[in-house]
Amino acid sequence: MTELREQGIGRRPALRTGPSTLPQALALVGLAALIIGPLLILLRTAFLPPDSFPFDSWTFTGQNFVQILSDPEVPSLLLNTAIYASGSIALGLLFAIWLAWLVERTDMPGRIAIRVAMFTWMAVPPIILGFGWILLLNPGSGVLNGIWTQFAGKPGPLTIYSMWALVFITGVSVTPTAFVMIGGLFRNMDSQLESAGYVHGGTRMSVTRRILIPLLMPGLLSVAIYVFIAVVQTFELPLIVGLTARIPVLSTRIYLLSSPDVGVPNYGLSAAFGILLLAIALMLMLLYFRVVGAGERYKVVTGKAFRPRMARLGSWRWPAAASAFLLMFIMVMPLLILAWTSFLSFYEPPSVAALSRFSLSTYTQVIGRTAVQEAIVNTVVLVLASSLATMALACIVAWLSARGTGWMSRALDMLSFSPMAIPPIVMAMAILLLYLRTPLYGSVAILIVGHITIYLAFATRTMSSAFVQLHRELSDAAMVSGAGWWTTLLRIVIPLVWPQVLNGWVWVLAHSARDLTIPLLLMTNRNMVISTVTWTLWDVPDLPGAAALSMLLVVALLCVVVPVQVWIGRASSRG
Amino acid sequence: MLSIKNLTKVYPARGGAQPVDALRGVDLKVEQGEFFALLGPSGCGKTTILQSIAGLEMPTSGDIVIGDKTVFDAVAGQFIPAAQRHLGMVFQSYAIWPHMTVFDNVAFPLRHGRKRASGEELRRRVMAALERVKLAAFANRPAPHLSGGQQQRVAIARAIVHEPRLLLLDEPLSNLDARLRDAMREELRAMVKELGITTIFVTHDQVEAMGMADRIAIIDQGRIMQIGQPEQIYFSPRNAFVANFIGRSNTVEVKVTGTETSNGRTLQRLAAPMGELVAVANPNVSLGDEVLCIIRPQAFVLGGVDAENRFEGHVVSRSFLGDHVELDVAIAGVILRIVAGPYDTISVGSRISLSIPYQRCVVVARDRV
Ligand SMILES: Nc1ncnc2c1ncn2[C@@H]1O[C@H](COP(=O)(O)OP(=O)(O)OP(=O)(O)O)[C@@H](O)[C@H]1O
Ligand SMILES: [Mg+2]
Repeated sequence: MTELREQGIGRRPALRTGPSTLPQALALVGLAALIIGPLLILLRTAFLPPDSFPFDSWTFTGQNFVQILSDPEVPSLLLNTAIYASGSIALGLLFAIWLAWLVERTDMPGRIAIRVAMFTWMAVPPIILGFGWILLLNPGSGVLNGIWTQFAGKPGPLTIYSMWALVFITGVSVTPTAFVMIGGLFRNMDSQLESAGYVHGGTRMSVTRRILIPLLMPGLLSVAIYVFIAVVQTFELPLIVGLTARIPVLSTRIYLLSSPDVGVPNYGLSAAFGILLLAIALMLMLLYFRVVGAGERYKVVTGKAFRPRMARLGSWRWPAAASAFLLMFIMVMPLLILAWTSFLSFYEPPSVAALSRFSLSTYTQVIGRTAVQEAIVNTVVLVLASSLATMALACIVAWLSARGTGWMSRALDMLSFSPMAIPPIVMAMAILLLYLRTPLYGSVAILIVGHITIYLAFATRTMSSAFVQLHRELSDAAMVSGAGWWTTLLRIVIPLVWPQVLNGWVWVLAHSARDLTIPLLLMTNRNMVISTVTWTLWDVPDLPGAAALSMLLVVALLCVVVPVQVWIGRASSRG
Repeated sequence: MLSIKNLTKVYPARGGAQPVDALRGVDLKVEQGEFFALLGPSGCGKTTILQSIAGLEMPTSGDIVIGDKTVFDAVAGQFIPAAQRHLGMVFQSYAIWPHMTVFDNVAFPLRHGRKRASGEELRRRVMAALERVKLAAFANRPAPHLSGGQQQRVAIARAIVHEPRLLLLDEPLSNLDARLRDAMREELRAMVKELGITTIFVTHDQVEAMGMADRIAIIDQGRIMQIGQPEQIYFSPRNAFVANFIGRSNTVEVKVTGTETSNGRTLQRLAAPMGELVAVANPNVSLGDEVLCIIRPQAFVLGGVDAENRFEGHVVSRSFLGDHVELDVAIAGVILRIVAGPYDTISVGSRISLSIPYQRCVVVARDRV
């Protein structure tokens, strides 16, 4: 009896077949420092007395939360956020479903072009879209209003500074993300399920109603919640459009409190709002996981090779294509007007007469500035460093959590996904608070840290799903041959999922280049990047300058994104 | 060479499902140079045993010793990772890495394994392994451009190139077509015998196991039912499961009515529904026990003249299967399956007399249900 107790029970060491404990522990500590550190400071700050800095005092007070609860503006703030988010996703989903259906399940002409455009859309920064829409819809001078005036003879009624405009713009800008996700749903649906409906006497109407929609519903719902979270968290468009329109939402409120135009920052209150936003996002996230769990039950991905049924549009082909391309045109309109503006020295609405004043002088002028040159160097450093580091970390974390066993691999998994629920603006705020008094503040390095933190979740998710699809025996064979986990990852696993690695890398790269949230909150005059410089130019206002710099950014990103997407498309159709 | 003691494996419950008892106390010993087969129906735990030996799966309890080294011991908390066990393994899916050439696939254990080689030495050994599987001409071919049979050979070459002390094969022939499978069976056995590597080989095909293995372990539901040489298992199955899994058998429910000695052998008299049977005694059953008597369809002698176990019956059905003829013969209400030669002309409905030599009757205990 005693022997039994001595030998076994209670003191069995943790055993695992996969990677040993040390790398897992290291990864866990690294992730915790990256993610939990800032959040703890945020929490601390939220309980700070007014007018003090984190680390300065040891008093805890609930004053900030009391202030939020008693603030008469807060209910309307929440209402605004809710209307804004639900309006935009309703519109975005509508567009995305329509396009995705046409592209994936019909014989509409020009399908491929639309799909490529949607997949490369990530190269277009939302702030640039915001600028473009302002030029188009400005109450007095907006281009669309000008056209209206010409035809109707009276001033156009369109205005960018309204809730509906904000909803419309955001709806259009989330369309590509929703398209990519919904397109995947349509593409992976086993059309045998539909065929079975037709074979057993269903009409087109009843098959759609009774089979197609119920099967797609969980997937669509999870896309909707995902996009909803993204919109609640979004910061750039509400900043550019919403501030002037006096439509404050939660994210812009956090920013204004921490970087007011006049007066001192109220970090405590800002952090308290951050906690509020974080709580909302977390609840949505839980909802998302519940719905995704339900979606698993209806799993429509069978893994068999099959071709989806293509609906024949017949004489509706051209009207359908026209509607799709009209939508695309609406999406690129802001880019067109920015391109126009960038060739002029002073902004004027498009006209034939103005064509004669076209020149590249704005470009040469903008590039000539030292501030811009520094920003370009900073951007290149930021984008390369953060994308490479994020992918490296994501590969290691995803591998350790996929192949390890025990609580550490589960903790790694959870921790690396958690930034999904943390709004970037909140993370930016938390990082600001943590590093405010350190030498890191004001450097490009802090931006890199910020981007690694907020993009890690997406990258890890991409890599985990790639690893899951990899036949387990491929890596087992390497381990039996005598290779350790690191060699296996490096020599076998990553080469096999190379397209996904590249896909994740280009996604992080594009998002890091276009992001304004982190660079703006952590901005000093030493760590300007292209997005922050564009923002300051716009604020001056130097419209042609901002337009030219925007165009440069978009073109540069397209030069990276398009070839990579084409390569990935080829590689995956080969495999 | 390899010794496994009281190995158990429980896959923990996941997502509301029950935990799975994949192994329930497996004991076995494999000698140096032996070709050992693990045979059992799908889902019985063969792959789990193999993966536990390889270090790819963590058993729940028990211990595993390879050579003189304990690679797993649950009580002492010892676990040597797969990479350090110095084994070779051929996977069910072959697991040929598609981003490499044939040469690079085979060279992997020598480049990244425990006992490394490089330069001319590496080349020589890889080519030797490829020559052994007759693929030397394919060395620079990208791995995806291979047929199933060639992929299997690459997998074998990769598993033997670093001269492992133990070779594990997980259903290596199941993905091949019948003709290739027959050819590879001989080739594979000849090759590992020549190399002298101890080999453990998983299969659910009894013909494969019988034809290749020195010894076979029959597994059912995570337990070893019997270990022995192919003949031993065929002629003296230890229970009804083994008897029916290796070849087919007539299982007759009988009761022990007496023991006697004849020509120095102990025999048991059994009361069977069709009359009295005499069989070689099973020391584990005693007078009065309700047991089973197992008789292979091939055991019957048609029109035999033996004194014991003579029966008369009539043929209920007959199916001609080319190599042999299967007859269902009703004897006093019991239907027995009998195999006859294709030239024995016996028609349905005819009466036949037959006998069963007592050496061919095996007494086993009834399975505890
Ligand atoms: N990862 C796992 N999680 C839960 N149960 C598992 C897991 N792997 C195997 N099992 C279960 O353990 C049992 C033994 O599985 P194992 O793969 O060893 O069978 P096998 O004998 O190799 O079968 P086959 O001949 O079909 O390959 C099965 O019931 C199987 O469902
Ligand atoms: Mg198996």
